[in-house]
Amino acid sequence: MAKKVIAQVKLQVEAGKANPSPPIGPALGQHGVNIMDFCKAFNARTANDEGMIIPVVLTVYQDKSFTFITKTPPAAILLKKAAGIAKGAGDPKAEKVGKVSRDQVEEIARKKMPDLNAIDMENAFKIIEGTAKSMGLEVV
Amino acid sequence: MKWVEAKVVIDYSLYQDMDTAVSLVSDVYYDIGLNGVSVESPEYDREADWARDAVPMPDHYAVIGYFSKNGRLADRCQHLEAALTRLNEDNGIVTRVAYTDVDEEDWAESWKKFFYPKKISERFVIKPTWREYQPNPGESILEIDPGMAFGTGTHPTTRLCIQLMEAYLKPGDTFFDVGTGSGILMLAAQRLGAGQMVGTDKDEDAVAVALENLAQNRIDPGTYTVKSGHLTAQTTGRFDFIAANILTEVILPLLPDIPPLLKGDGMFICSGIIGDKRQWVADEMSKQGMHIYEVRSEDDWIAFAAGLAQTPRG
Repeated sequence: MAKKVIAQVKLQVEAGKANPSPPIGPALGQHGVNIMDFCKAFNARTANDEGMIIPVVLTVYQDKSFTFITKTPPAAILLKKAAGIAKGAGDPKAEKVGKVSRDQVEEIARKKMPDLNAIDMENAFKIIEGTAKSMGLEVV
Repeated sequence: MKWVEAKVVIDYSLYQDMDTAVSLVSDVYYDIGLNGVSVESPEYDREADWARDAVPMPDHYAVIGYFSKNGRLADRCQHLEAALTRLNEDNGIVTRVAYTDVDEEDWAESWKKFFYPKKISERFVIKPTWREYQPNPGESILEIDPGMAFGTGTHPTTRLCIQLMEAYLKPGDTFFDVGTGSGILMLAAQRLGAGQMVGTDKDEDAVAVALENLAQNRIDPGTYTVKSGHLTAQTTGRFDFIAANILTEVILPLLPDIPPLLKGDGMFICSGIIGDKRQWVADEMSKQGMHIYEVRSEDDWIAFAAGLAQTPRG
């Protein structure tokens, strides 16, 4: 008989750097998941994306075993990397902190497409462009 | 260690694109210096086979970050609140933040309630120190408290390693455990008759846990040393048996260090390799003059048994 699910946990964790500190410890400990086993598996799967924040969805079963899927990094993280900036604008209307090209936005939209609620690439582009503007990035 | 949970709940009646809202709120935490957050949302996998007693899904969107309770706490809270005010003014994202004190012990201990004795190979049963277990004839008990070190012994990578050790380790073998974690492989090696043993780990806490577990299992302290620091550089001599249950990315750069530490007919076992990285490790072992004797797998994990000789010792 298939194992039944008791919880789903959503986290964003730096690739290859999972450890039992928060947010992982408290999020998994409360469901009885072996924290270190998750850290080991997550680090193995994401070691190639060093420096990226990776969203992960864990499914926890009744016997406390788990599976997880990783998603593409948040758009804000990919945009900051593309623009070569460390942080977004404090006041995006008044302050522009950097620029990203339309090609870069398109590339990020393509990468994020599987995780976006976008009907097509044009829609995905608009979503990423909107995120860029809200961070104080100019799309040129 | 004490922490403060800062939970930012996003009002989704006012802002429609919750992916962007969650992303922008998460970004505030990254600006403050966190490298991870937890996300709560009402979205869940409707296809999954949910148990009747499943944890109810949240009815809200929230991003949760944790701050250590130290001198920077007030600054971080202030920074968080100022950034959330700006998100409201500039993007119309309305949030409210709530702080709760949390203690590391709350979660560090909680998973132990669900950790029971488990038979992991023909011979070995892993028994948590806080459980009772009567071994059946022929069973050997490895008693561990993994604490916050890697290696409960029940993970496929460790099981594969122990199974290969059962197949190849010979009584009296000198044993080197590269990245010992909880010390579980040293315990198994000793039970299989290993002679002198050395374990290394980069993490000082892991070394303390390994030493505790070796003592808990009443292993003669004269038969082993466990050191923190570089995994291979501080070890000399040649071993009959070397085990490395780590990760591909850690194992690969260490592979050139293995042949000088391995006897001509010695055995090298490495585990912790995820399926799609199998070839990288196989190629690098071959480049280092090693021959692969056996590959075992479980779920998507791979373990190799290899050595410098053409065939495994008889």
